[in-house]
Amino acid sequence: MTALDSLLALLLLLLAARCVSARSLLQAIVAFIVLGLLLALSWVRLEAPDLALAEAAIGAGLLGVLLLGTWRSLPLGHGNERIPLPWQGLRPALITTGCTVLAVLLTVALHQHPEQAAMSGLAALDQLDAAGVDQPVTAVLLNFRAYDTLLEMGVLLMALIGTLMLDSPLPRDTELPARTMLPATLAQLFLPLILLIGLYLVWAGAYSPGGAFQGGAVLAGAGVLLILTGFGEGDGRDGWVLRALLAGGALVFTLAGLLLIPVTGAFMAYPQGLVTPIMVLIEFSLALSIALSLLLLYTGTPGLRRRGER
Amino acid sequence: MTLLVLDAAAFMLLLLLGLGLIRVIAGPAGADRILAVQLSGTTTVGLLLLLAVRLEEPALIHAALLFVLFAALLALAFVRRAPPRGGDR
Repeated sequence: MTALDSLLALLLLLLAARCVSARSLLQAIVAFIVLGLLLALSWVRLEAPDLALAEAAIGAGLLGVLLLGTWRSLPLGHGNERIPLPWQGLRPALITTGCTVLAVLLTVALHQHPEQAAMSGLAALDQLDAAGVDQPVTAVLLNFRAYDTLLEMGVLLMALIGTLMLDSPLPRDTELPARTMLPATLAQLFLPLILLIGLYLVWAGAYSPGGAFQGGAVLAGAGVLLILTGFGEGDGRDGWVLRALLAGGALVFTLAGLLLIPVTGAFMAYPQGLVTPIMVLIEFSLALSIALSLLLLYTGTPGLRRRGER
Repeated sequence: MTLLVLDAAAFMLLLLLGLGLIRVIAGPAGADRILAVQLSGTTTVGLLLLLAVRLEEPALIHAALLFVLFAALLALAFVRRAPPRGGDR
């Protein structure tokens, strides 16, 4: 295992260096996607299967598609010019040196830091029975530190609103080609599988690694597949249904916290016995909001429609 | 003994992934690089399945499943636009 870990670390460094020193956009994107694969493996070796799942769904899946899509949408000639190496020119050289020094200092600081017992983690494991779910990570995310997760959902919505406020920097003539035979078949083959696994991951979050974020990202992948194969496309207009679903995760989460105050006496505390159903409800509404936010971040439009509809 | 074989197999797979990086870095065409990424993806799936057995962590099988599903999406995103671009490097 030591040999495996050393090789993994070596390849990670190699690919990270490649990402910043690639000579064209596509080369950098490709190196970044492979870096994502190796990062997932690193999380596995660091005994964090939850993060490995998140990296698989978001890092290697959606992010790669997003980057390749952006690269494809750039006007011809753009993104093909050679990128200067990070140490060519005064400013890039200064930035590179600064970042390297910072990385070295951080490594030194990390090694001098006295090792502390993870008190909060142990406390969470002790209280797991009260959380209503068997998976410690989900218990922390949705119960013990529910406030953090709610705010994270807000951050995702803010990111989406910010993106929609920006004027599209891409030219409007980058239309998708008409539907072709192969991608349509691909969608029919893969869509049920992706949907099934996405929903399963949300559900599985209660007792094994998984949960709203990973499952939501997979569901967003199903939407991206529909758009790539020409079944759906972004729409300039949005409807109330879509907005309600987008805000649904945060709303259900907040309401569940607020409405139960008379019963439990505290914000975001859930009564014994009702914990598990409330958790599942919150988990699924969060997953749906996350999936839609990620999908709209991909299309860059406020709405969605079937292709051909006006 | 079984553990040793699993470890050796995992190391070999990662070594092969590293060798595959030659095409990711050298290219020359964009399609070569994307195919090399697909190969790395398949190798990662193999590695995750091996590690799932080795570390007794069934959740890693889910991660492998996700990589399989998203690999197709990645290839699709690459070929999405009909007219091939000049100088896909």
